[in-house]
Amino acid sequence: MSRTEEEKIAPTVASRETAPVVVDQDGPLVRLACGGDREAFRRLVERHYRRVYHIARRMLGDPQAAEDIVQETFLAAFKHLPGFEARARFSTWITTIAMNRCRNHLRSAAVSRSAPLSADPPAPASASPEAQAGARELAVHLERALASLSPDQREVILLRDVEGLAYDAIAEALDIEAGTVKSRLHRAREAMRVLLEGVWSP
Amino acid sequence: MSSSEKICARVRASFSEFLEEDLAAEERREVEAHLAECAGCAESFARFREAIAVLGQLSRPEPPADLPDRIDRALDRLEPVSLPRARPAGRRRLVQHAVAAMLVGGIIVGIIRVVPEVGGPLPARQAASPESREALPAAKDEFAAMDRAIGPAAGALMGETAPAPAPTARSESAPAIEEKAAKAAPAYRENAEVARARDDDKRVAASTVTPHAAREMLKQAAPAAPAAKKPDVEEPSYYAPRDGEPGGARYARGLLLAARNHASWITAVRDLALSHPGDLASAWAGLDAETRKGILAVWSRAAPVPNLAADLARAGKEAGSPAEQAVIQIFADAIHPPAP
Repeated sequence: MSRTEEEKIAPTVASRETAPVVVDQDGPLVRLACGGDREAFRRLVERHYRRVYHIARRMLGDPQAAEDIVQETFLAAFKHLPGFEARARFSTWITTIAMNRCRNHLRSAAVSRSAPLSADPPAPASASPEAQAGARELAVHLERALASLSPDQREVILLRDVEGLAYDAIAEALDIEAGTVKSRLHRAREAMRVLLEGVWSP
Repeated sequence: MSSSEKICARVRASFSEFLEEDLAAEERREVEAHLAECAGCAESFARFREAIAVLGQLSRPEPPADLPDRIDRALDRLEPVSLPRARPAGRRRLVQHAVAAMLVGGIIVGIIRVVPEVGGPLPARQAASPESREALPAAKDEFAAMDRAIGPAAGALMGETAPAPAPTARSESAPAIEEKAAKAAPAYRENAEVARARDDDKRVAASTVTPHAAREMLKQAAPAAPAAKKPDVEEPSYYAPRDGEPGGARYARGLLLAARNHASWITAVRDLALSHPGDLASAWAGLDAETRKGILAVWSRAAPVPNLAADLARAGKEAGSPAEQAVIQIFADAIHPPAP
């Protein structure tokens, strides 16, 4: 599934500038799944598992742990679907579950001390070789800086700047006030800037 | 730290607020003025802004493609008794439609002929009006009990070889019918198994439903009960033509009205949703609010509609087409009736 397509069906992952009001297209499927319809639930899984995996992978740094988080998240979601209130978006709710699982994982294991870094990421497409090399280098630094942040700072940058979630969706997913999201984001970005400055001006 | 270094540090620390326009007007002007005169901070801000932008373009590690399957299997282990999985569409669908058509149009006539005591005018028998339901308070519970006990099996039968229990109103007590339903359920399940096996062998045909077989099933599930009080208001016939109503929608309308009387009709409605979502959607749109409510009320007490979404996809309907969306909505409403 392409990124754009995913944005279309996971409306909270929308462009941060526009943040359009989109009808939650998961609604009917969620209602079917609430009634025990496994195929409807399967469709929901197919719509969201990549995003959940991505979040878990970046939070934990470990592919295997991220896969486990995805499984746990959807199993928990299926179990608690009947209690799911439609006032929240399914995508936000899933993110909340995934985030809680990630936090528990980080708390229980000592992995938070040394979150492994992911391999060199490919550069964003459509750029000159020089710009590509530059962007790739920046991306590597960013990955490293992201992994060095505290989990609290990492999660807010991840949801806002990497995933592009709206502030209210982040507040719900992290179970904090909307105002707290902003102040945390500013602090986290500042911490990241300091880390990057070290690279930029040695 | 010199005073100018202090200013630089303070300005840089507020880059994020500045970028998000979260600074007070005065602070904002201060930062702007500083960036205009300090090349170092201006460059730092440019890098900062680029970094935030690139965060949104970081590569997204792909999860293993079989992850949804693994989740599926984990769910199977979680619920050892899972809902019936959708079987591939195809010839079966045709057979189901033939059966559904026979059920609505013919089989019940046959049953009524061989079991005269449950007879009565066809439209009245099939569509007990809301009034007649009210006259028999226990009837609602009976339907619910029947649905719970034999719903899934009856549904399976409906779609394959044999009719569900004819939706007749009964005047027995709810516990009695509960017991009867419980007794009947194993037999139905067995029949469903046989039917499925036949289906798999591709030997099933609509012609396997003989009036005799139908009568036997009817006996097993719900022995003939005294006829219900005749409804005061006559329901329109399922096939009564309406001006300007195309044939498909009329057929869909008939199924929907039948589904108001017994939830097991839902399987036939579901099949129609797969083959003719447009017809079903327009038939649904043509029903008045009261009738819709009645249908949803019966369905919402029934076993969940299994696997509709996947079936729709398999049937090759354009995903997200208005008709498909409408039908999904109908079934979603059936499971969780919208607030009045």
